[in-house]
Parts: sequence; C-alpha cells; structure tokens
Amino acid sequence: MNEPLLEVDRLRVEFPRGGRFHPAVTEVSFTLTAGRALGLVGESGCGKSTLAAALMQSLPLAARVASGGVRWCGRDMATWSPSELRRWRGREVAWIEQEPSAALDPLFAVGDQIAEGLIVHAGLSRSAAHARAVELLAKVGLSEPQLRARARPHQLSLGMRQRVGVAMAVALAPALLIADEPTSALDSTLQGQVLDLIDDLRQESGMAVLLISHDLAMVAQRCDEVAVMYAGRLIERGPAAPLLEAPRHPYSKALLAARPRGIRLARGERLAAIGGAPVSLGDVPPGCPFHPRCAVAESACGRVEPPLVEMGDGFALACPVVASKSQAGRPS
Amino acid sequence: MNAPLLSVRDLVVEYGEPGGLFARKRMRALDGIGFEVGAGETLGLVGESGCGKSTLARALVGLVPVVRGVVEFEGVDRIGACGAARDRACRGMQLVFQDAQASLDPRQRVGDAVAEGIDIHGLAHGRERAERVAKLLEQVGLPAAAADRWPHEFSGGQRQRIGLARALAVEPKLLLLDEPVAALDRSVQAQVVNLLLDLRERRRMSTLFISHDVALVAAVSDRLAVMHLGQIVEIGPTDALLARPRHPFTQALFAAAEWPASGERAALGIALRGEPPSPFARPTGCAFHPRCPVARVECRRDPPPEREAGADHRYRCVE
Amino acid sequence: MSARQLMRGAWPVRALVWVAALTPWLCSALPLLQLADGRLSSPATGAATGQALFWLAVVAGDALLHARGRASRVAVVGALACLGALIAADDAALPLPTSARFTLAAPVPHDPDRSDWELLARPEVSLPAPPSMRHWLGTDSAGRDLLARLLHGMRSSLEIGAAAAAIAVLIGLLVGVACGTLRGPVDFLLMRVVEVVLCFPYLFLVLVVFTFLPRGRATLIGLLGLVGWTAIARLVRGEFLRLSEEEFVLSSRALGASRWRIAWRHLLPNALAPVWPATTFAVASALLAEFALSWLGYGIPEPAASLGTLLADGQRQLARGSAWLALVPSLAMVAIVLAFHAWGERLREAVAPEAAALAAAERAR
Repeated sequence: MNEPLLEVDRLRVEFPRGGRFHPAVTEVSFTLTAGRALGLVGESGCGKSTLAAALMQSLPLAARVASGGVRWCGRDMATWSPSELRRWRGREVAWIEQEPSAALDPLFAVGDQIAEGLIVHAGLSRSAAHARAVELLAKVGLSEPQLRARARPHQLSLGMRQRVGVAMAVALAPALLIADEPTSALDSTLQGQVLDLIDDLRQESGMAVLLISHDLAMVAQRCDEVAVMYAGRLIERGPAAPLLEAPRHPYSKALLAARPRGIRLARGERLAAIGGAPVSLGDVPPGCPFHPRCAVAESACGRVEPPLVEMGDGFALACPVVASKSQAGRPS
Repeated sequence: MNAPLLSVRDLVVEYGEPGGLFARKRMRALDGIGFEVGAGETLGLVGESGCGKSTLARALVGLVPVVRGVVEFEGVDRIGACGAARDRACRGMQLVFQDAQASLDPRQRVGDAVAEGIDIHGLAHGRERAERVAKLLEQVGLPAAAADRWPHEFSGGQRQRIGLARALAVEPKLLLLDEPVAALDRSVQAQVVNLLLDLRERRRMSTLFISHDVALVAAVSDRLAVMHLGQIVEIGPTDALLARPRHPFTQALFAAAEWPASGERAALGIALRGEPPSPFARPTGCAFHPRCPVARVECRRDPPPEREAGADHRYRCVE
Repeated sequence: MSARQLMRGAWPVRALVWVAALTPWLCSALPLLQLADGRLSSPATGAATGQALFWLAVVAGDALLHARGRASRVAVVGALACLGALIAADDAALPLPTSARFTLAAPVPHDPDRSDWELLARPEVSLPAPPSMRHWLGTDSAGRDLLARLLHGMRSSLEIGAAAAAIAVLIGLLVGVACGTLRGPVDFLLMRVVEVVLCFPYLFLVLVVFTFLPRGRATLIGLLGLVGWTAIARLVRGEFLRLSEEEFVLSSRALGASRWRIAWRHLLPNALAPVWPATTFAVASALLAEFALSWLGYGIPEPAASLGTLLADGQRQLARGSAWLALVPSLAMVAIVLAFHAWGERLREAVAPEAAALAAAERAR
C-alpha cells in the first residue's frame, strides 16, 4: 500500500452555543490513499459537512479545532501558511458541493471559467488553457465541446451544468476530490450520470475521492470503503461491499433497512423505522449517542461511550453489544 | 372494480412563460392525463422532477387553473361543480405538501393550523374543536400540548405530522401526498411513511402517493403510474410493473433507483443518457425518443399508441 | 412578532416621546407646585391642555410595555393617571397669586408663546438675545425663550409626523390589502391611482391645498397623510402577491379557505412584518416634509411652534449673525429623524427574512 494522502487524526471540531463549546465532530480518524474512494454517510446535522470544511481548512470563524489534526502527505496542515493553503486548495484538492453547477458564474462562458483556473494555477497560456478546457468538456461527456465552451451557464441544461461543474472541479487534476452531497439536488436519472462521471475520472487519473452523502446504499456502491457518522462520531467503518451486504452497527443496519428496495409492502406490513429524531448539536445523549433510538441497547450503553474498535477484518465498530455477540458467535 | 373514488380524464394544464407580453409561449405541464383511484386504494405516481407530478396534485385540488379535462370525485366533476357539491369535493380530497416548513404559517399556532379546515367548514366549535384538535394530534403521534406551540419549535418530521393532522381534520376520503417525506432525514422518513400507512388503513382512505423515489412509492402503492413530461407513460398494478416494466422510461427509472446491490446496476439494461427535455421544447412524436435506447424512426413522428400488457396494465410505446 | 421585539432599538424614539409627554411640566411659566393661601396647587398641571392627556396615554402604554413586575406597572400607570386626572379636573389657569409662600418652578420657566417682558425692558438687550443663564438657548426675535419653543415645537412636530404617518399607513394598508386580495381590475385601477399620486407635482398640490384650505395643523396632517401612503400600499400589495404563492397559503386554499379568510388570517399577519419598519420611516419622512413646508411658509400658524416654523423664523435672522436660531431646530430635526431611522433599521433587521433564516439555521444546527 502506498503512502496515505490524507490522514485525519482524532479530529475534534467545536462550535460555540450558549456560552459553551459543543463538539460537532468528535474524535474522527481515517486515512485516504490515492485512487481510493471513501464514502462518508450520515444524516443532516451529524457533522459530515463540518468535517469536510475542516478538511478543506475552511471552517467558519466561530468553529475551533479543539484537538487532533489533518495531515496531507504526512505534513500537519495546521502549520501551513495561508498562501500554502491557497495553493493547495487550488491545485491539490477539489470540492464539489450540493450543486456542482453552483460554482459557475452566470456572466461568463463556461469554457473561460474552466480556463481561468488553468491559467492561474497551472500557468498555462490562454490558448492552451482554452484547448484544455474544451478537452475537459469533451471528457465529461458534452457533445460539441467547442460550441459548449462558448455558452454561458444559463444556455446549458441542468445536467450539462452539473457536468461543467465537475469538469471545473477536476480541471487541475486534483489529488483529492471532496464531493459533499454531489447529487442530492438531482433526479435519480441524472444522479447516476454524475456519479459515473466521478468514477471514470477517478479510475483515469488516480485521484482520491471522499464522497459525502446521506444515502448509505448509494455511497456503498460507489466507494471502496464506507464510514458511517452519527452525532459527530464515526460509528462504523468498513469495506463497502460487505458493509452494504451486512452492516454491523445497529444504526447502519436501521438506516439501510429503513429504505425499501424494489419490494411492495403487503397490507399491514411496515418499513423498519428508527424511532426518535437525529440528535442535534448541543444535546447529545450521554454514553453511546445512538442508544435512545437503538433496538439492541443495553443499560451500559447509556453510561459509557463506546470507542471505535478495529475488528480485524477491515471493519471498525463502535458498538460493544454487537461486537461481543459476533465474538461469541465466532468459533475461536 | 366498482365506481372509482376519483376519476381523471384528459386533464390538460398549461402555463404561460413569463416574459414577453405579446409573444406568450404556452407550456403544457399536463397533457391529457387520465387515471382512476379506487376506494381504499393507493396509487403511486413517479417521475423525474419537472414532469408535472406536483402540478397534477395541485390541479386536482383546484390550485392551478385547468385548460380542459374532467376531475370526477365521487361522481361529481370537481372543476365544474359549485356550492355544496364543490365544498364536499374540497373536503373529500386533501393535499399534503412536500415542505412542511413552508406549508405551515409561521405566525399561526399549531392548534389553529390543524383546526383551520374545521373552522372553514364549520365542523366544530369551542370545546369540541379543541377536543378534535387534540385527538388529531394524538393520531399523528404528537402530544396534545403541541397545539399551543409554534411551527418553528418542531423538527422536520414533526412538522410533517402537523401537516398531516391539518389535512386529516376535514376527514378526507382521498389524501394527495406530494413528496411527503422527501424533505426529511432517512431515519425519519420511514417513521412518517409508517404513520401514513397506519392512517391509511385505519381510516380506509385512498391515497395518491407522489414521489421521485421509485423504491419508496413501489413499496407503498397498489398501483403505479409513471409520468414523463406531462403524460402518464405506464400505469398498472405495482407487482406487474416491478416484475416486468414495459415502457423503456419505466425500465430506466427502475434501473436508476439503485436498489440492486453493487455491480448489478447495469443488469437492468438501461442507463439513460442525456436528460429530461424541456416542456417548452417538447420533442415531436414520443416525448421520450431523444433519450430512448430503443427508439425507431416513427417514434420521432407519431405519438405512441396505448397498449395493454395484461389486466389493468397499460403503457404508451410502439414496442 | 411580539411587542417587545418591535420595541428593541426604539429607545431614542422613546426618549423623545417621554420628553414630549412631559413638556408641559419641563417648560412652563407657571410653577410646578406652589403653596399659597394655605392651599397646595400645581398651576402648570392646570394649564396643560387635552393634548397632554393623549401624550400621557402614550407614555402610559410605553411604561406598561417595559415595566417589569406588576407592582412597578401599577405604580407608573397610577402616577400618570393621577396626573391626567389633575389636568382634567383643574380649572383654567389660575391667576398667579403674588403671595405664594413656596413655589417650585419648572426647569425651563418660560412660556413658549410669550415674550420675556422683563428681558425686553432692559435697555442693553438687543433681540434676538444670545444664550444666557436666563435663556439657555437665547431668545428669538420676539424675545421668546428658544428652549421652551424648541421643546413645544418638537412636540407638535412629533404630533404632526405621527398623525400623518398613521393616516398614510392606514390608507396604504387598506389599498394594499384591497389590491392584493381582489386583484384584477381593482388592483389595476388602484395601482394607477398610486402612480398618479406619486407623479403629481408635490409643490403644485401644496399650493392648491393651501389656496383653498386654511393654514393649520389639520390641513398639514391631512396633506402629508394623503401623499405619503403610496409606498406602504405598494409594499403591502407586493407582500400579498409574494405570500400568495407560499405553500402555507396554497395549503389553506386547498382546505377551502375563502380569499378574505386567507387575507386576514395568513397574508396580513405575515405582510405586517415589513410594514413596521416602513412606518417608522414614514414618520421620519413626514417630519422632514413638515420641516420643508413650514420653511416655505405653510407651517402651523404663529404663535404656536413646530421645528419647521422655528427654522423658518431662524432663517430670517441668519443675516443678522444669529445662526443658532436656525441651527438649533435643524440639529433637533436631524436628531429626531435619526432616532426614527435607527429604530426602523433595527426593525428591518428583526423582520428581515435573511435574519429569520439565519436564526432558523442556528436553531437547526
């Protein structure tokens, strides 16, 4: 295995609320190597977007990194100078938010917008940058890229704009692409296309991808590894296919089961719902944050917060109840 | 099937494009929609965004003007009806909106919001009204004390429950659910869907369940209708459609629904290229032909015929 | 929106209102208290007019809104009610008994409308008199105390501004609600009326009005009210049209609500939010208009004072080097307008959708 590209080490990010600091991200650790795709799954308010902002070193001013840190190619990013960070954001990492096309300026031709980044960061000449922009547009699947490059964003359809947004993000061949809910604003028929595009780019250029979403099934199909977040903590991490097949944490299990998959419920049959509501910042229950909604919670769950424990088979799990059961079930 | 509760025939809705005063382009949002909902039945309606799903729901309850067509509720045409008959149809069919945040007046207490239908139709007063509100809140899983609080004090799931109670207050026979859980977190979606199923069965209501989430709609519907650009391209029993979708668009929708496990995604065959055409520039012939993997020459020219594919299963395609 | 939220940032205006309400006691030639012929009386209170009662009611309302606890509310309102009862009960101003054994004079012991004959009697005094210990801001060219006139002028300016704004807001609300609810031809016609009012040459209207109607407070209020309502009408109409597309309005329509019910229950309460700041701005602009009209000579007639008439008066003395006569009312006007604008800005922040959205996001997080 090669050198990890991005290492997150026991990161803790806090927000002030009512005179106190409340953690939005608690003790999150993971690594990402080149060419791999990690999926980060969680519901709204679980801290996944805060985590992404922390990785980008662009947290809101009110937030603070209470402990832990982020390392890029082994270098602690907290020590970087602003100009170093700016260069890094421009060249090494790309960020796609909910709507990739939101990054487009309505006043300028899309080709020029893609070219601009190439001129500034890659030092290309104007004509070379334009040629490269057209190339990129062709690569993301736009027909007649020469013509499209001259179009303003509003002259393109929604799907094309998304593709242009992705093209712009990957124009500088970043080493890491952070995609925060890149498709939740899109129809399922378009979603697949954008995700396919990201897949293809990853396979071609060997960039690492961090795919953030609320949709466990979608993420698991697109990534090598999946991490599930709840209340700012990683509660389960594992290789995508086995995790989708048999998630271990009760929350991951419930999240997957709550979604019907190509079946019809008979009369009287119900979806497997999780009770209660997701926890919000500042009122996280003690112990395991999921225990009030958990079907297999034991009395200890309300007292001791379970750490994320490596299970040995690539999985890591923050649920002692399930862990001890699988241990017992395994022939020693 | 005996007389349907709701029968829609040849419904057409058009919007004018804002802009030019003289050269007004008309956009046909609904183009000859026809379907029926039987008593106690759930009809699922799926389609891409912008295909006219929400317009259909709004046209049914009279929120958007209808160019032509018949919306027959319990045998009375709702569009032409007036006075008491219209009032009854109005009560009998209730719409629940997608965004519970936007569909509750921020300056109206929850109790008054729930009781609005009761007040409008003069169903109860004073103490009886308060009792009904408390009972409705309890039915949707909220404490009776919620009546004195403001909508912003509640979470998304709870607000959607309030929206439901509001619609149920007038005791409708048909509930139109326009993306009722799309704005909610995954773990809360299932709760609300289960509540809807409970209420549907307890009250023997019919429902029209509209969503872009094919898997969800398929799970809760007896019959399924697939909409594309203002037209229903396939309609039939859910089991039949799941087992064998006929229209290429239905097949593509099911394929994109991501319910097969990883790797099997391509197995269903069709992955759509391109994107939904604009309703302002509707393709000639079959509106789906620019994206259709099996389109023929005549698809570009002629509107596709309607075909039968078994009992109560119809689709519009030359294949 | 709770009343308390609306009053946030109102303190400069509230201070002005309290000063205006207490003006009959702050500045009066008559003593606040006197002991004469074995009887304790308050001639200043007795001289106060019915307007003072209205002002007392206003500050009583303000006190009720702000006082914490039942006891303090009862105390404040009780005191103000006693004062009011005294005004109402007392006979007309008593002749000053010469043999008063004890008198407590008002802080500014001058009548705003009468010349200071004692001062005029001094041979070395030339009018207008500059500031002195006796007249803190000096006197005007008729020998009247400027501070007394300023306080009374501020009070009548506030009355005119508030009354004009009240008329403007009332008409604006009625027209806006009618347009937003009825739509169609009613909306079309009323909006044309708005345009006509907006385009009508203001000075021409002033000339016409004062040709046919007498100069005075009522004419001024009516005139300012009748030209000031268009902005509010457009605002309310716009809010109605915008809110009509909101889902909660659609939801009520789907329940079968009539358009008047929707207008009253849903549109108006939500449309009022931006009307509050607009109202404070309307008061400020009415005040400025009164200022300008008085300067043109269409203000309230002598000897009564408003800030505008004070300015007009002072402007005539500018040539003689008595700049303070024009400067003082101008500064007072700037301060009052700023006070209303400050309040309006705070209100606008409080009701701005972005602010609400931010607060909601904060809650959600």
